[in-house]
Amino acid sequence: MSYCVNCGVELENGCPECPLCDTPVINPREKVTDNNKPIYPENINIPKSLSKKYWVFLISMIMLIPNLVMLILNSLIFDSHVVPYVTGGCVVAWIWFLFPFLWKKVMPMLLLAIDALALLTYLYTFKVFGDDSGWFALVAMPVVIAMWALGNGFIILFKKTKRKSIRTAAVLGAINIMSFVIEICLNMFYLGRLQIPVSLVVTACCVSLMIFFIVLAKSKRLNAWVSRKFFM
Amino acid sequence: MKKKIPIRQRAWYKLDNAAKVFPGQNSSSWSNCFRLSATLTEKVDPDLLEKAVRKIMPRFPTFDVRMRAGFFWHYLEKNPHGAPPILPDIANPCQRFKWKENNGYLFKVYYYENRISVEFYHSITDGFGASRFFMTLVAVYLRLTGKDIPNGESVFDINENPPEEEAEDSYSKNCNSNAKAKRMQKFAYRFKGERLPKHFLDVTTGYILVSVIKEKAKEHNVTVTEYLAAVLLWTMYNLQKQEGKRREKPVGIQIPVNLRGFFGSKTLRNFMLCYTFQIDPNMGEYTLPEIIKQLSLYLRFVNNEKELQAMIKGNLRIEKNPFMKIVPSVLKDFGVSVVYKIAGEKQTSCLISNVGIMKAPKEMEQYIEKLCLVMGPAMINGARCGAISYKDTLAFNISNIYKDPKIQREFFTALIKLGIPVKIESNRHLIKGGEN
Repeated sequence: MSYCVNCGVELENGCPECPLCDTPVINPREKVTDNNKPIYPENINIPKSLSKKYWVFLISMIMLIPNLVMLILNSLIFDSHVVPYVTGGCVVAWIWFLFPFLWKKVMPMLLLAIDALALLTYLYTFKVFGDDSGWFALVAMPVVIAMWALGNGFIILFKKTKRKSIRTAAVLGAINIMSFVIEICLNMFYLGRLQIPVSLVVTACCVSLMIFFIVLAKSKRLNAWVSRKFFM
Repeated sequence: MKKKIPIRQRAWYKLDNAAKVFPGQNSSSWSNCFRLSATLTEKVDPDLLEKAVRKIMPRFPTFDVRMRAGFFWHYLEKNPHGAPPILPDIANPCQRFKWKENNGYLFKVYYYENRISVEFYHSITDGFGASRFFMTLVAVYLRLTGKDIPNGESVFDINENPPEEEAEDSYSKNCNSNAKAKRMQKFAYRFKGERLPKHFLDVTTGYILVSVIKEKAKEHNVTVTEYLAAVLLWTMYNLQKQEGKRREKPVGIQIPVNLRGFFGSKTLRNFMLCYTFQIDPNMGEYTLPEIIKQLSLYLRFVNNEKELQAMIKGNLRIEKNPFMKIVPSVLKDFGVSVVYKIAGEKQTSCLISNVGIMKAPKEMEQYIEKLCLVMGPAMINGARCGAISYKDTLAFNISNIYKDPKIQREFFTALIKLGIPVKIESNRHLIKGGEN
């Protein structure tokens, strides 16, 4: 018989390491024979369960059948412009919410690019079947591209740091950039000139908060003072 | 008066009050279950084991059932298959039950080398009923191998007709109270950590000499269950302390109690209730003797027929509520599932179940080396503990779904520090290998 030198428990014969603290068991006097069968067999059983692919297939079919019926009826009888929007919406929803489950290992950057492309294509259908006053090139495309770029930035930053203050500062920075992009695009589209009064107010708020959070992340003293003063 | 059908001929049973909750809690990765194991002196023959299972099934009609979904409630229907398949044992026990697997049976029979193990789904029985079924199975198996084993103690006579009382719903029968016990307690501390992959379970069993643990319990004038529960509570209390939280939560322990002794019931179905005892670290530092004293005083205070009836009444009122009755079982299951996930295990940090001393006829004792009770893991809290005593050995088992065996380590090293020698067995090295 052997005892763990760290926790003091008696161990079963032939046990390679203590199950409680992983301390290796070295006992030259212990006779390990073939009779020392392990307490549990090596067979690990993973019960069968319905795979994710099955659920994706099932939900896809539920989405596909009404869409197909609608498209056929539309091409033969109704000829409505609304149907492509609904079908396009379903396709985007499928790509956003179900497509990731088909991947063995999700690659977030590639997934984000596919999602952005799907959204742009969907918005393009509105341009094709509806109003073509230049909103797609001036508003939709820059806003989606900016969101895609910021999303990539978040993925890189969130992998690199786990500090809440830095992450909060990054979110504030992203809100600030998005407010600029949206305001510039809308003003260029509606007024035809560059104007950013609202974004400047947003910038003032965001930048001051960002500075606060960055300093909070850097300074342990400030961090301690804040938690002391504002404890709940 | 309505004539009662003999229980062997009955086609279906209503679920008892406790069992009604379990189907709703069942998920694709978790079931409320537990395992009893007996290590024999000889290698187990699976063919004889199957014969033994088939032989005892008529004596235990409440086990010879499968789960069916009615419109308003689940129910147990007589299983036409005769017996469940006899399975080679696995390294990751206490897996989820699915109604259509295992020939529909709500217990699974495993064999490995010298060991027979049976896993029970909690809807059909509790620790008491399961232990009687299990010991009878082992006795019949030993008889088939040529041993002369008499009936008696926890071994039932398989040739007698099962009495009516064994199939009764003792909750409904024994509830005469008008009082309803207060149920809510504060949300308790919960150990958190990285979990093992789905369907994996770390099973660590510590073997302790009954004479030693009895001596220790006697020093404090408490029972063995109270002593072990207090040490476990102290372990959880220390684990929270180590986390260094500014505001600590109460630490709670849940202890199931067999109600048969209080009400003279002979049922083999569920008839137990859970006491929850909490200590609040915000009240100050606790020592182990303080916890032992408070826990034993609490249990002695609540352990009386009136208090228990009020607790049963509280559970039955939900079941008997006219609104609850008319809700379809699908919605009931969904409601139970959501409520259990949100608040089911929030009032306790851990559960400890002690089925007590398992007695077998003297002629049988020589063929059984040891017995073990493995509790299925808790869905949210992760760890559950089971204890069973046989001859002069108490097997204390901790089942855990966390990668870090901190609870096991703290508990067993606490026993060592208290002067109680422990021998450890675990499947941890197999589980660690299986993750990769």
